[in-house]
Amino acid sequence: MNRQIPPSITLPKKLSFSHVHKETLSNGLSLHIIEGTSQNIFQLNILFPAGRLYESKRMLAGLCANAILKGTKKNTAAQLAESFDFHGATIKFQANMYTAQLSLFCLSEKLGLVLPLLIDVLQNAIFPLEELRKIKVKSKQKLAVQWEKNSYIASQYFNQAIFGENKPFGYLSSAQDIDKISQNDVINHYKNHYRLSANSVVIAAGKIGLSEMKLLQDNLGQLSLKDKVSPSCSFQTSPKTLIELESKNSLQSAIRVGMPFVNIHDTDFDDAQILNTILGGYFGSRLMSNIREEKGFTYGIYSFINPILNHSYFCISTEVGAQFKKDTLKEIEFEINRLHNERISDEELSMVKNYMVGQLMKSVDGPLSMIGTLKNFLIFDLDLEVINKQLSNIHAVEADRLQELAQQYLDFNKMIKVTAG
Amino acid sequence: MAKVEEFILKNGLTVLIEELDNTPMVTVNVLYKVGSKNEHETKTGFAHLFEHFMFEGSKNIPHFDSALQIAGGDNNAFTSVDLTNYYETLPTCNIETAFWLESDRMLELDFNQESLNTQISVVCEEFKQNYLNKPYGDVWHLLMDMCYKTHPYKWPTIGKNLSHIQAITLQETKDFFYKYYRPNNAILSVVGGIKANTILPLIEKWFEEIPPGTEVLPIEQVESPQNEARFNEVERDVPSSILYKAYHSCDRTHPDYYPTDVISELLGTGDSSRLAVKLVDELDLCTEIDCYLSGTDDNNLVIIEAKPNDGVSLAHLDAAIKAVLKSFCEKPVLEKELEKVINKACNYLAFTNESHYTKAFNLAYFKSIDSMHLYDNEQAFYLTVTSDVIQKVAIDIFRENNSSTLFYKSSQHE
Repeated sequence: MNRQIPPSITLPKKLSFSHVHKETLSNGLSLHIIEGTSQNIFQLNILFPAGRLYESKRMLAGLCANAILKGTKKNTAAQLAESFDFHGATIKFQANMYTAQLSLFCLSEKLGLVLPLLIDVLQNAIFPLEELRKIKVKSKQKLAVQWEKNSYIASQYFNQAIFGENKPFGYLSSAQDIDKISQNDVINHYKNHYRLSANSVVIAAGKIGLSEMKLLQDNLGQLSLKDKVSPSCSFQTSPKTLIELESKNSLQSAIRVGMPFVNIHDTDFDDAQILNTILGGYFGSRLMSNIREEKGFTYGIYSFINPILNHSYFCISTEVGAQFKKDTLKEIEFEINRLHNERISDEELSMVKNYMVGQLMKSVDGPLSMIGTLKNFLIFDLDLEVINKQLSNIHAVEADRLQELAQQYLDFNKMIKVTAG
Repeated sequence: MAKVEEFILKNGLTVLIEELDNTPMVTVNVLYKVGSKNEHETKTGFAHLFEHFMFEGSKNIPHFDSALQIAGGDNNAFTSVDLTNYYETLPTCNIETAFWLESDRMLELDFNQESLNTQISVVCEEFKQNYLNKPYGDVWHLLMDMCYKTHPYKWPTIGKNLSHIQAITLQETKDFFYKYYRPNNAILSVVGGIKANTILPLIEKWFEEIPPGTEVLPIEQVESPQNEARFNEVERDVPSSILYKAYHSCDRTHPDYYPTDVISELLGTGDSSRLAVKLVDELDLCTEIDCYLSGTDDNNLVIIEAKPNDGVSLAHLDAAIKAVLKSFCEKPVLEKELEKVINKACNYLAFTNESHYTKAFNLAYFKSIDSMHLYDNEQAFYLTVTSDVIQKVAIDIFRENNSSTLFYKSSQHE
């Protein structure tokens, strides 16, 4: 046996997802269903248009999501916690840039007991004053710890520079802003924005038979819908490209480098994803190979594209030994310029292609993977067929095309560079 | 119950295979029975550094990650106090690539000083990122050092300090490899869309020729029973204080393990737990409180972690926690409370078993502690836990002489 010869490789040209379908409930709500589990499990994700974009005051979306389980007209906070726990269910609300996400996990057999509790929370939350006070204390405590971390400081100032300091996505998180929020602010945010419309993202995954389907119909079907929401945003990116921040944690520096980028509906987006993967999107990326594996400056360095509504931004993120800060920025510039100036070798490109095909397969491997993948498509009015479009795109893309894209979209000089510590 | 096939190759490598029919992917998992507990106290952090070194190329394959990525796979690894675990997830059609890669690095590594130097530097940055340059980063160093006096659990897996890691030599990595990374000290588990009878010949093809090593004996150091309450207090430049309490309990394979896990759940997991209801809701003494098991093979710890409200002293909070523990020991838990914890455990186990990665790791893990009867069957062990057993075990654990208390004080509020 010759161990230097690798086993032969095959990869699929097309993927199928037979277990996904859409149901329309009696109130008009579209419910996406993902079946095909070996276990008796159930997961529900709902995205409400209730993130930062919809705030009447700063920090309100986060506070509302954190407090929503703290009491309804029927149940106190303690009763709710006890009931969800008793049925072995996990429930979480989290506010993001423009959505607030509900995640519910339980065994399918508990669905009849758990869904009515969820509906109570969605219809009758009351945000008691005393509970709000406690949540504020806890939120401020957590925020204070976050501000001690160089990575958090760098991310906050990066967002501020990319989006603009007065924009909902760009303002710095602050404890003072949490204090300014009243009970009425929270209740109004809840009443206005924790409401679904026919185009909201609602996905159930797991063991969903006829009886589970009836329970979903009976419970989610009774929610009243509002008109379709069409959010949009604009960027006010800072003209200042270098932001250096002091920090008391001086052993390492956190670095963020990035700029506004191609949006998800753009015909260049899928190829730009491949370009990003090559640069910093996986463990074998150029940034990781150079800055971690060759130089040992860092434990890890990644780049990513974050699509947001009709925009997106590109970002490189790392924490490096403080003495390597300048050299790391130099190497980042070097790697971006290398993408401009050199054609990617066939060897590297085919490795990245194969890796990305594997990742696509993984992203639809089982209902729990698929729910996250589908959610990220539905947010942008896309469906799972995008996967096959991405797949054929990966198989087709050529090195020249990626070099052109790099020249067109990646400009180190125009990128915002934030360092903390 | 899952059907698991078990084989032992001629060189002592244990092989476990479970066939699933609902996935085009597979996880190949290799567990080596070596963790930071196998280290010497003057050379800590070794097992974890070595895990990094395992990706630096083997005898016939210079780039582990590239070779796997070409097959559409990805991988990761972690080191704990008890074990080091490696896994690849890839399309089933390319499973042989994973066997080729794992067998080659089990056969022989490319022992190269330059790679070692780089990984020492990478691990030192990891140490700084997670333990030195981060608020509360030194908590585990402080707590473990207080709880364990003789057992090597007294230092965290990352190591005691940077200098231990910087001192590692190439010869030491060779010695370590030929002592612990032999097939007879490893468990290979494969879970996914495969058939056992088609992959076993491939496993034999790639792994069987690897020579075995001498048998690795269990570590000798044990922890003597604790007979005095321990206390430590530190002041750090962090925004708020935290209180930690830790109590020794049993080994992972001891019959009291599941009752102990139930106790930690009842006391401090979720908003409706005993500690949260009393100290967060009723008395408003802290913003968060959790109770959990350390999950080690030997001598587990029941750990309580509480973040006090501004203005509440750690001593006051400590007294209040002790009062909750005392009343927990005095009165039997209600059937309804017990049912709740069992429901939560069943939920957790069902979600865990959905992923072939967690199944593959669990297979290897339960084998590593000689407890295959627990695989896919832990639910049954939770169901046998009674209120009487809970009370008996709780009384034994929550003795003052069995406690270690750490006041991690904020200097920003003094």
